[in-house]
Amino acid sequence: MRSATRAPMTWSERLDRVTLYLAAIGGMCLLAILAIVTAGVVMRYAFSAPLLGVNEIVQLTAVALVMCSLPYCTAQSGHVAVDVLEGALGRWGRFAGDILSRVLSGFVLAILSRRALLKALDAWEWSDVTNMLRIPIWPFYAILAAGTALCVLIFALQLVVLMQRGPR
Amino acid sequence: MAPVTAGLVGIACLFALLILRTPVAFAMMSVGFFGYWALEGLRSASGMVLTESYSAVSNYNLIVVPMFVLLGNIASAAGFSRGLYDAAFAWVGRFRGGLASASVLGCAVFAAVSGSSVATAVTLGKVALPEMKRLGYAPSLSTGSIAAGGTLGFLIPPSTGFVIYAILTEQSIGRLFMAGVLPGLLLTALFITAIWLISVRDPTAGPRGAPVALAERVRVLADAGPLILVIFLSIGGIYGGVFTPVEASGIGAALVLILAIARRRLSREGFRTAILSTLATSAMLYAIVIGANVLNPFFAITRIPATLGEGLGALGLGAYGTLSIIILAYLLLGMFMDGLSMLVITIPVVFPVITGLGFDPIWFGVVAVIVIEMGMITPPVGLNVFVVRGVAGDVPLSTIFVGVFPFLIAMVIGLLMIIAVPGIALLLPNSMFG
Repeated sequence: MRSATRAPMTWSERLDRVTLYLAAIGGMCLLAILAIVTAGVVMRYAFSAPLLGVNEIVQLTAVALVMCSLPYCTAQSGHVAVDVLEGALGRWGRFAGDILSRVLSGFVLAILSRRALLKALDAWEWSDVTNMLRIPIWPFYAILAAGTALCVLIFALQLVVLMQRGPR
Repeated sequence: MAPVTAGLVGIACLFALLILRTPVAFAMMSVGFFGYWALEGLRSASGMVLTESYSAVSNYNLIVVPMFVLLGNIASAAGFSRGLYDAAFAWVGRFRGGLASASVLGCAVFAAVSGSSVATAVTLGKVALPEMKRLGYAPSLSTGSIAAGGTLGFLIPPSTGFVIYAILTEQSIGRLFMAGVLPGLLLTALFITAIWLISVRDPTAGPRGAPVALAERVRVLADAGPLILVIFLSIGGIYGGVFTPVEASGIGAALVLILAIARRRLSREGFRTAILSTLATSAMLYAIVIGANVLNPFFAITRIPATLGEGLGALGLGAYGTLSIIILAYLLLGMFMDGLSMLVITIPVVFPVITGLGFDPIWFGVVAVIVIEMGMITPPVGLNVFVVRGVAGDVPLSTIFVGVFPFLIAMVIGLLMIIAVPGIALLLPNSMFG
C-alpha cells in the first residue's frame, strides 16, 4: 500500500539511483583491490608464495572501479571546476558556460564510449586476453563504454534541466 | 593550421573553457581531442582518446590514489584525528600558542594518512577550532594555523599531488613520497615557529593550555599509537623497500580499516560515507588524469613545450632566473586555480623546460607542490581558507586571510631553503634508492 502513495520517480531520480547502484559495485571493486593487494603482500612475506598476476587483477579491477564511480561523481557534480570568475560571468555567461561544457564533455565522452564499444567487440572477436592470467579484456572495454555512456546520459539530462530552468 | 598556432589556440580555448566553469578534466579532454582532430584527423583523435583513457584507468601505480583516499576517509570517519590532536596537545599544549601548534602537528601526522589538503584541514579543523575558540585564541591564529597546517596534506606522503606528478612525468612515486618527508617536517617546524612568534608578540592571541601530567601524556600518545604505527609501517615500508607504494597504500588502508572495526569506531553509516566519498574523489582524480593524458599528445605534436623552452632560453635569464619566472607564474595561477588542476595543466609544458635546464625532476616535484600549497591559502581562491571558513562558521574570510599571512611567509622561507639546499628534498630518496 505504501507504494501507492509514493510519488513516481523522475528521470533524474532514476538516473541517480542507477549511479548509486553502480557506485555500490565500484565500492566492491575498491574493497576487492584492497583485499588483493593486502593478500599479495601477506602471501609473499608470510608464506613465501607470491600471488601471480596481482598487477593484472588490480589493473582490470581499477577499470571497473573508475567506470562505476565516474557516473556517480558526475551526477553529484563532483568534478573540479574553476569558479572564481563565476560572479563576473553574469547569469547569461554562466548559462552559456554550463550548456557549452556539457555539450563538449558529452560529445567527447560519446566518441570515447563508441570507440570503447568497437574495441570491446574487436577484442571479443579476436579473443584478446591479458599476458599472464589470460583474462579476456573485452569486458573491461565494455565497462569503459558503459560508464562513459552513462556519463553522457547524465550530461544530457543536466542539459534538459538547465534548458528548462533558464539562466540564473 | 600550423601546429604551434593550433597549440596556442588550444591554450586559449582551455582557459576560456575553464573560465566558463567547464570541469577541468573535461576542458582538458575537449581541447586535447578537438586539437588532435584538427591536426591529425578524427580517426586518429578518437583512437588517441580511447588509448589514453584506458591507459589512465588501468594504470597500476595510480591505484595508490583510491587506496590512500580510503585510508584517510576511514581514519577520519573513525575519529582517529581526535586521538592525534589530543596526543599533540598533551605534549605541546602548555607552550605559548600550544593549541595552534598541536593543530599543526596533528595536521602533519594526519597528512601522513591523507593525501589531501582539504581533507586534512576539515578533519583537524573540526576537532581543533572549537577547542581554540574555548580557550580564547585569536580567530586569525586559530583559523590561519588550520588552513596552513592543512596544506601539509598535499606535501607529506602519501600526497595526491606527488602521485599525479609522478604519473604525468613518469617519475618514481616512492622517490617523490620520500622527497616530501623532510620538506614536510621543515614546514611543520616553520609553522610552529610562526605560531610561537605570534604568541610571544601578542600573548592573548595564543594563550598557554593547562599542563598535562607525564603519565597522561604517555597514555594519550599510546592511544594514538596504533595509527602512528600504521603510518610508520606504510611510509617506512616504502623507504625500506619492503613495499611498493601500491602495496603500502593497500596495507595502510587495510590496517586502518581493521583498527577502526576492532576498536568499534566505524559505524555502518560512517563506512558507507567513507566508501562513497572515496569513490567520488577517486573518479574526480582519475578523470583529471584522463584529461591530462588526452591533452598531452596534442601539446606534444604542437611542439608548444619545446617552443616555450626555446623562448625562455632566449631570454638569457639562466636556470634560476627561468625557475623564478615559472614559480611566479605558478603563484599567480594558484590565486585563481585549484592546485591539482594547475599541476596537470602546466606540468606537460613546464616539465621539459625544467629538466632541460638541468634541475632534478624529483626536487622540482617538491618545489611545485609547495608552490601549489601556497596557492591554497592565498586570496582570492585559497581553497583551504574557504574550507576552514566553512568549518569555523563565524569567522570572516578576511580574518582568515590575515591569519594565514605569517604562515605564507614561513612557506616562502621554506621554499627558498629547499631551492638553496636541494638536499632537503633529495636526501631521503637518494639514500633510499642511491
